[in-house]
Amino acid sequence: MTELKQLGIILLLLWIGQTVQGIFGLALPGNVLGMLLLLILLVTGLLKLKHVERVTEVLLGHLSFLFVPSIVGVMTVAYLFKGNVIKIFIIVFFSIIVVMVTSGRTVQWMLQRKNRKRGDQL
Amino acid sequence: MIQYLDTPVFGVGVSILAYSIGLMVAKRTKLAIMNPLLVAMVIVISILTILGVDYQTYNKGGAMITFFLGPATVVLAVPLYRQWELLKSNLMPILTGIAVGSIAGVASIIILGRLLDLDTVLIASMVPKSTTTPIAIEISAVIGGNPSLTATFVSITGITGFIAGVRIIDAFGIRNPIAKGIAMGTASHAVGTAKAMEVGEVEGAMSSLSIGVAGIITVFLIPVIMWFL
Repeated sequence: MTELKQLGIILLLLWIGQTVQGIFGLALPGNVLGMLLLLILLVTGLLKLKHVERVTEVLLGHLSFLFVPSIVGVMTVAYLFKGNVIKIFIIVFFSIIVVMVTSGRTVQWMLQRKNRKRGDQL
Repeated sequence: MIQYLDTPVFGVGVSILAYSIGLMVAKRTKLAIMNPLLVAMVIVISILTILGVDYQTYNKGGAMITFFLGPATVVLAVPLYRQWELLKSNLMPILTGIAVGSIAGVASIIILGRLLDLDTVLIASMVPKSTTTPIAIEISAVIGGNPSLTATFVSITGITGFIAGVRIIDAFGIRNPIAKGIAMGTASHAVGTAKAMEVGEVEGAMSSLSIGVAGIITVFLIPVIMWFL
């Protein structure tokens, strides 16, 4: 299937996601609903990987480029940064440590417990 | 002169030029701080400032690029699907870990933001910063943040995770490859995943999986976040 048809499929899923979000007034963004929908279609086998593989490569291969205009938009709100730069960096750095340590240690602890249980049964 | 720049071609062209230079600089210097996205941002803002072009004019083209973030988020389901077996066999530890990390991250930002007496718009813009940009800017808009600020915080977070992530993980005794990948991806999305892929195959796979899952979990936290903001 050509990239164009694949893009058509993805845009259709995005549109369905946005429409569902609009109709039910959900807090879940339309693009995330579209992602969940695609995941469900892939897991159930209604869509095959080959139906969306090439457009995925193109889009995710250029993912950071797609962020350029959003980040440039910071020039319109730069005044909010004034006098807060150090505070912002403290929060960024501290919260990264918090997220890494809590998520990583939790996964490690649960995996160890699971493996120990399995060991007992043997 | 300015009137000839008042076309979508300008915004798209400047973005492509700036990002290409960013990629080149990143490759030449091999410095993590020379992230292509950050370099591109500095170049575009410099060009606009020198030419005296405002953001609205640039964004005629910019909006066309931003449009593709929608379909790009939808196809994040593909890497998630590729790791489906690994995810299924370790479902509970992985989901619990990502959820605990996401909740702790959001809480730490709100608490620290209040302690440091930051503006609510700033705090709301920082809250989704550990998730991937297309999801983060949606969350930001919903909870009263500023999507452009959020996009900036997301990339600062990614780059910090890229530089410091492995050291943090080692320092806090996280040794299991699955746990390492989850920590990198939950804290610093796609940029952290690039680092995790350098560390190892399982780390990279788990990290890319965390991008989508952490995004979804944080979306479900929106009502709770709004309660505390």
